[in-house]
Amino acid sequence: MSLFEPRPELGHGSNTLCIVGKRALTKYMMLDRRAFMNSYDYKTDLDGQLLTNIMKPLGPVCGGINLEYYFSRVDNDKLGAGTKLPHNVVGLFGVANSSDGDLRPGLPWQMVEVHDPIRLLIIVEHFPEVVLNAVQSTPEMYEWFINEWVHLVAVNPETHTLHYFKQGKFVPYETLATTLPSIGDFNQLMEDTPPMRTNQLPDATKENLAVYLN
Amino acid sequence: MQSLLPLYVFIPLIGFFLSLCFERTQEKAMSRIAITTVSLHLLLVVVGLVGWLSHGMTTQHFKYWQLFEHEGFKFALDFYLDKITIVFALVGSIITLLTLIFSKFYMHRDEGFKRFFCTLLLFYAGFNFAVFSGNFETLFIGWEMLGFTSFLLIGYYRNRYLPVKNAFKVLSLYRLGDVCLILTMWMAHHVFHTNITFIELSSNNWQEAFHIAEKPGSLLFMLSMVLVAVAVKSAQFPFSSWLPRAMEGPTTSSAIFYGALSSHLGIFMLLRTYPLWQAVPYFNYAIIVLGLITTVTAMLTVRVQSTIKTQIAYGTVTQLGIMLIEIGLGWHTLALVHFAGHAFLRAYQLLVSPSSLGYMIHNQFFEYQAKPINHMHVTSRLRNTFYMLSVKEWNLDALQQNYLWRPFKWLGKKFVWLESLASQVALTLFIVLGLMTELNYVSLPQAVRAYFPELYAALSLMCILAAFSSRGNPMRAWWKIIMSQFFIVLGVSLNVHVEAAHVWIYLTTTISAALVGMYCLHNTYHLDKDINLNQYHGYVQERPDLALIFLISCMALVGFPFTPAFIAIDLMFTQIHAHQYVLVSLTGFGFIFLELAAIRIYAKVFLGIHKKHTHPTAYRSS
Repeated sequence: MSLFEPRPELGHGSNTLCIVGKRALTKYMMLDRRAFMNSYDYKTDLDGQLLTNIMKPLGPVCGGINLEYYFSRVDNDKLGAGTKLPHNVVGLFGVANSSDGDLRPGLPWQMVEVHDPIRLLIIVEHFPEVVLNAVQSTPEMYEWFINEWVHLVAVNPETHTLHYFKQGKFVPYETLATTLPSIGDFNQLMEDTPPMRTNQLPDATKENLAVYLN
Repeated sequence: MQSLLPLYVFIPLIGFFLSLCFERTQEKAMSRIAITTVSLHLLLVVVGLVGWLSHGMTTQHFKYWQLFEHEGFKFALDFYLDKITIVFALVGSIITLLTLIFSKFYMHRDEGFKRFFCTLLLFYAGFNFAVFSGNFETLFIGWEMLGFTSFLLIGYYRNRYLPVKNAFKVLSLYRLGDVCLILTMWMAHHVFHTNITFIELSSNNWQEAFHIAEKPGSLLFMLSMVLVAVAVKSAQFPFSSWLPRAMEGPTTSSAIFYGALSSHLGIFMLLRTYPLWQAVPYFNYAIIVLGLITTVTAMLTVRVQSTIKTQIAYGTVTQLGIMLIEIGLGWHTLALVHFAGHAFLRAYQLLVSPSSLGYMIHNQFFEYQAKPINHMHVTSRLRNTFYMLSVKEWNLDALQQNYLWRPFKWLGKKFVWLESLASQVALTLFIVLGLMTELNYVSLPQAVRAYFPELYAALSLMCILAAFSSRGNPMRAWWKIIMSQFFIVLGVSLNVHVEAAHVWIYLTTTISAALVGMYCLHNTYHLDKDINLNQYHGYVQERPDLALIFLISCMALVGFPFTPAFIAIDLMFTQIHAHQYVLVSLTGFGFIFLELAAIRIYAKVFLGIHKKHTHPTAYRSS
């Protein structure tokens, strides 16, 4: 790996999903290297003691990284670091532009453009009541969830139903689409896709994300 | 072999024109054109090297184009190949090729991908013009192209404030060097009575042939001008502070320009003009002293810089100072070897500089030890003094600002009254009077007329300075620049008889450029009815087409080497006699500030942070 290429990511890529549960939960799924994976078996921790400790850093760490991507995309020039190409390393602790620029906060374009920001979704495999107890155990952890900085979903380990955390309680979640579209020939799809009209940063990051509205 | 020489210059130029033909999104085609051009060039340089070696390492010279001839003034494109050329061309083409290949990935998806590669090819053409030049005029073409492309690449991020500010700062110093080179050419013309070529200079008996011993003053003048040009280009004391400020563009362009090639051109110039100063006593001492001061100040500065690129920049300055010392001591081959090694090292260091964090953070984590605190006594006090001086880069930047540019700004502000209607009428009357005198409708007493050239040159400088420090309407400033051109032409033509054809060449180019520029400013003005020079407007975001046309007309107005006005400027300077120091300094200052005033209008109106908030803009200080 070359350290001086402009898009190395260096472990900062996981920023959309956080899965706390058994690995069987995500078997055969393509997560695009964007998920934090916490191995956790609810059977070893029925009262949620360990879960509290596991979930404590999720807000500040995973949510923090996720929001870093979000704000850097919202206004990359002011909240982010702008383009990476002219950056100058200052005193081994930060970057600035050239010799007399200010220190830059946030992330550069070259990182933001490869990952569209989506609000972090935390999926916990445990009974909703236990998860609710865990997140409410300390106020500074609960802030992240009650103020909706991150989404939280509890997966009932026995029925495998999903429960979405909304306004202080878990409600059963029903998917908007009942069937998933599937692709027969992936290679054919890739070949048939028309080329991008332009591949330059400011244009390429303007595209809309697929969003379901209800 | 000799007929091969022009190719070295024209291949990059052809590459540049080809690269203009592509869309800005066609990254592959752009990078392919650039890489092919430079590879081909490298191949040719290797062929040239083999040919040169097989010819017994004799100097090759090619008289290519005689563009212009008039009463002993010849403007010819001459090409020249010797040891120095080969070393610079070989190092230059290898580094440029490697950096281009690197940039292909580095610049991927950047908005200015095309702009970057086009400018780099133009830079490369300019570099080869300078390196393969056979006379001062050809060298000057390359020199100008380098200065201009430097401005474009430092101000590559043209929507931010600092790159634009620093690009203009560097451009103004470069312009000082350019005019020094013009003055060298002017004096050379009077000393040699011909357009001296480097091959003639390198012959052993030129001093007798041109009776140099009779005019030591002229030679001294030429050499001091060369020294200033070298000091500016190679960032020697007291101009060192521009090099770190030039690190504004993408890292790859910094590597190629300020680490590797552009900054070494001063060394090239010094080696090239060696025949001129070899017999002048004390000149090599001057070089050694200059190199020594630079080395010491830059060495102290580099040790306390906190950012990686400024460290590399001052490191480069240190080594350039040492190269100057080597040249002064007569170790030219050593200086060439030093140049080659140093250029590769700095290019590499700058290219990996973004990852210095990754390399060095471990060192800091595991091996860092805080220095013991020293108690104050005399030596530590002295050390702290030097520490503070070095942290502040010896105040060189402020020094240049306060003592080099501010006096002219101050002077220019004294000429605000030029805006008034009465003074406009008076200026017009002066033009009419000059024209009448020139065409012999009015016969003035000789005692009065003798002062006319100086008077008109002073009026021209006045207009230019007023435009340079104007903070109001750019169209008025532009108009003052046009007026100044009339004055300068009248001043020179009142001095000696100039053929009408030459005046026409100059005036038609200048006036058409001025009209196009006025059109662009006018159109931009009508977008928001406000383009005052008090702030940056950043209209390149809205009207990139107008910005480009205005930039081209600026370059045409100031006589950039693609216009006939360029030859006319050289011609005009040769018309000034060797003893007319007042006239030549007025004209010289005029030419420094002419370009600065025009480019300043371009920068203020089209570059910088866009004043509208329809798209994200960066902070002024970022």
